[in-house]
Amino acid sequence: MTRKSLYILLVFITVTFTGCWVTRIAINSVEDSILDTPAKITKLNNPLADSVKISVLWAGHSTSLVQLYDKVIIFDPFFNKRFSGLMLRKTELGLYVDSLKRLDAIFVSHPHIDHLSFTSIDILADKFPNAKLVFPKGVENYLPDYNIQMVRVDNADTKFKRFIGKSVYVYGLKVTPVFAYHFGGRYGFDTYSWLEEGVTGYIVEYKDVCVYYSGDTGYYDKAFKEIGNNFKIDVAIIPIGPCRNCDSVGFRFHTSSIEALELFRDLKADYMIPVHYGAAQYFTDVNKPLDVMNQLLNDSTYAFRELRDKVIPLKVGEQKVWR
Amino acid sequence: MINRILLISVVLVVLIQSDSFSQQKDFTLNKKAKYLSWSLLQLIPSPTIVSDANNDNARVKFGFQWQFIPLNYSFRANKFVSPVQFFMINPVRRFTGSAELFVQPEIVTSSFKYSGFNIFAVSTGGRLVIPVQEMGENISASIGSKYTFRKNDITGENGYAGIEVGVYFFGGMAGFQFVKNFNKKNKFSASFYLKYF
Repeated sequence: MTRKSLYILLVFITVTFTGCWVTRIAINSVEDSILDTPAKITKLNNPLADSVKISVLWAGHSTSLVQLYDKVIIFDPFFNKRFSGLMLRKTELGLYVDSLKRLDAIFVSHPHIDHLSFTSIDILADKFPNAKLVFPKGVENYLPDYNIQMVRVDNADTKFKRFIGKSVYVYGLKVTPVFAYHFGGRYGFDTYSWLEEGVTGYIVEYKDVCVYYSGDTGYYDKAFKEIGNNFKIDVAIIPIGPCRNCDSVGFRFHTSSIEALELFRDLKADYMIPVHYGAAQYFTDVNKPLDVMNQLLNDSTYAFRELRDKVIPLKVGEQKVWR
Repeated sequence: MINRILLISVVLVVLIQSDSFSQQKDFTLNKKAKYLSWSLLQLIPSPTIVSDANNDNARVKFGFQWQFIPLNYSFRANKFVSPVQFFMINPVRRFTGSAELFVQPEIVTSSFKYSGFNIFAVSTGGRLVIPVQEMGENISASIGSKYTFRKNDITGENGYAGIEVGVYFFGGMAGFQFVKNFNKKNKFSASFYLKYF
């Protein structure tokens, strides 16, 4: 091996690892992750209640605890202090997991590190051995075995042909996987090069209520209009970040604030809870997507003013209840 | 020859990355890219140091190892996937707890002046991978044993056994391994372990 070989090898390794924007973001946040601590927030002592039609508690990032009458579900539980063991979350988790008295189902939308936390699911599986873990086809490759029943759903494909997948019933909840414009994988090349599958949004119906959780998705109007035409959605939980240029469209696979509002309008849902901001430092200030969304809702030059009363931004740990 | 292989690998990896992701319209598994890029990534060696000693002198030699895992059995595979894997090893099934057989070709950059061993070697053995933090994704550890086939032109030895311990990060794909060899002339080796899937 010569010096030249070592040089080429160094280039090879550098190209391999710096090609990943997640790595670059993690490197940029090293200082904060070492010196900072997550901001303290106010949490509810009891996130569940009687005589609730729908409630949504935003626990931070995308983690959302939803109650539909007597059923309790959680989307993309991420309880860790750090993303991938490195990047510190900006605000602490907005949920006392110990205070949770009931859980029927855990939903995973895709296997990325900020949506699938192995230990968070393990904690919930230990505490609620009768809960079911629901995930889209493809995510099984990124899940260990848990001591709870695992339900794999046949997600809508990503070939822009079928936007609504096959429904399954979980403890009386009708769960329908729906289109999400995103990608699977977890460890770099499997994401960007291999294009591993395993991404979905969810429609969850119970009695007369219907909740939509998009997971991570880019904007594709045809898909979301079809979903909106097929379901009467009461509450839509939609990501508004991360964004590079937050005032315009997103970066293909995540809806920016403006695209999230377009998506919400396509769905014709009654209310929208914005998520996927505030916890993970991506390209801009963690709350920039929310600031931009508020501007859009109040700016008469955009056609979103009629949505102002329908969009309900929550603080981390805050809950919105419909009775 | 090695230079050419590495250079071609760099070019191919860049092309595969940009080509796959530019086809954003359809996120279905790209098997061609998967197996090609995985094969190229296996060429990334793990830098290693190996001791070189005789009765009077001792030093360490720098070299490279390549990591191959022909067989892995996961203790925590879910019901939808196989617990047994060959060569392309899913990291989740590996770091959450598994047992595996491994093969490590090795080359050191210059001759073993004191011990007289050959610069080429192949180690083979077995190890247990144990999860430590975040079910092993953030930190996992391993313990195992191996036999290193390395010829010694002076003594006529053909190899030696050793005990290996390791600690891994980033989904078990990077880490450090230390081997205590049962041989007075090659007492130990230490490696910066790198292996993608």
